[in-house]
Amino acid sequence: MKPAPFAWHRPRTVDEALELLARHGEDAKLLAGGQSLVPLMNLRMVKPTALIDLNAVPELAGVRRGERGLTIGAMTRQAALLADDTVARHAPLIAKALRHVGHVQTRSRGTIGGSLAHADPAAELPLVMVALNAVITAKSVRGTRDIRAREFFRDVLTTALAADELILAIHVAAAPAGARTSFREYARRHGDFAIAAAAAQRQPDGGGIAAAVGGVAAAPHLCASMSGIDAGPVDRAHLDALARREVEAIEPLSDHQAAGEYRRRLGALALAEALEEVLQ
Amino acid sequence: MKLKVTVNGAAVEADVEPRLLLCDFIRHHLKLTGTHVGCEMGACGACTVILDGEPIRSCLAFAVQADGGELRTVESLAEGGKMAPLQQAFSRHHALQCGFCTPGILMTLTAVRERGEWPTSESEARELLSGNICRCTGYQAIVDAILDRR
Repeated sequence: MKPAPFAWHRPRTVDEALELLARHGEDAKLLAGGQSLVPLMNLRMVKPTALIDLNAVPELAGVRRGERGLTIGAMTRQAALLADDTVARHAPLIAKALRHVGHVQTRSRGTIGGSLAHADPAAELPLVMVALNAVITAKSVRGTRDIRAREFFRDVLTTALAADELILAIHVAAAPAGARTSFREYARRHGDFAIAAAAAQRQPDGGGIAAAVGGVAAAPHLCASMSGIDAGPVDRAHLDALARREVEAIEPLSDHQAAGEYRRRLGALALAEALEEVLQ
Repeated sequence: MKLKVTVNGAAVEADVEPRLLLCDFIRHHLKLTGTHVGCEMGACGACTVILDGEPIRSCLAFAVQADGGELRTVESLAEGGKMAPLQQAFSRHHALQCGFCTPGILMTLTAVRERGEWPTSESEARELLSGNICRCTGYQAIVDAILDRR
């Protein structure tokens, strides 16, 4: 229950971190908040020989508003995001999801970039990024590229990042005034990873609904059949049927916490509740 | 790796392996055994300490990452042999039995209180406690102690 030996590197700039990553390749791991990586190291399920600690790279942290909406540095702590007025006002879905991300002690260290790069299928932040159609900027010594969140999560703990890339920042469109958001989750205990969760955002003035379901499959599931549901009165039975049809398309995961069919049912329930909330 | 850290107000210097966990540095090098180590995988919260004002799980940080920082452990709470008000509330409400989880809970609550947040309802108290596992009390007495320390 102790990590295997490694060389610890503490770069001060992104370029320095990228040089180290290029040099050490698959033997290296990037250390962000460490709330997922360090347990795996303690269990020796992961044994990097080089650990590149990003905690002393100030340019990777912080939230700003600009032409790309909200730009969130990869090393911004979950606790800092939860306390951020800009996030609360312009990305309320992120703020709602963060209350379910771990606990007060893990949010002190855990970062948004770390959550996305780790890509746990039941994690909340990947789910929200898929729902919001976020764009993830990745950088390596070879250059910089943008990856849509909807194409980023490939499988369990597997992303579109190459071995020499790190996440620089995440871009999210600011929610327009009057947008409605909902985040619903079912977990064994508050703060645990979800058995199933759903995130939804409704644009004002008939601008449509974007929704996604997490925890059920290997990666967040973007809901395809949302068009037109914000026209007309809210009918919960209709939403339940729609949500059940939506999750039928998902290939569910089964594990010691929940069987696949149960995850699907909870996913449909979370989705119907989220849709009902944004439609009210 | 050389390391300089302030521990409960006192400057400490050490030379440690990078893989040394902060919790093991606290217990084995500093001999501050009030910080307990339960699961070593971030699930139980027993090892919670305060680093630079933030409550963190010390089994999920390396000692070298505390370099230049200010660390506080449960030993910092009582002053001159007198328990802090939070500890007194725990005593009044019998909010511990075996006591293994107590230091982690006290440090979590201390950090939260210092940044001006405090639960005012049972559900808020339970949400705040969600990162600390207690196998004795069933949490009720801990919730009572939190709500009594307003």
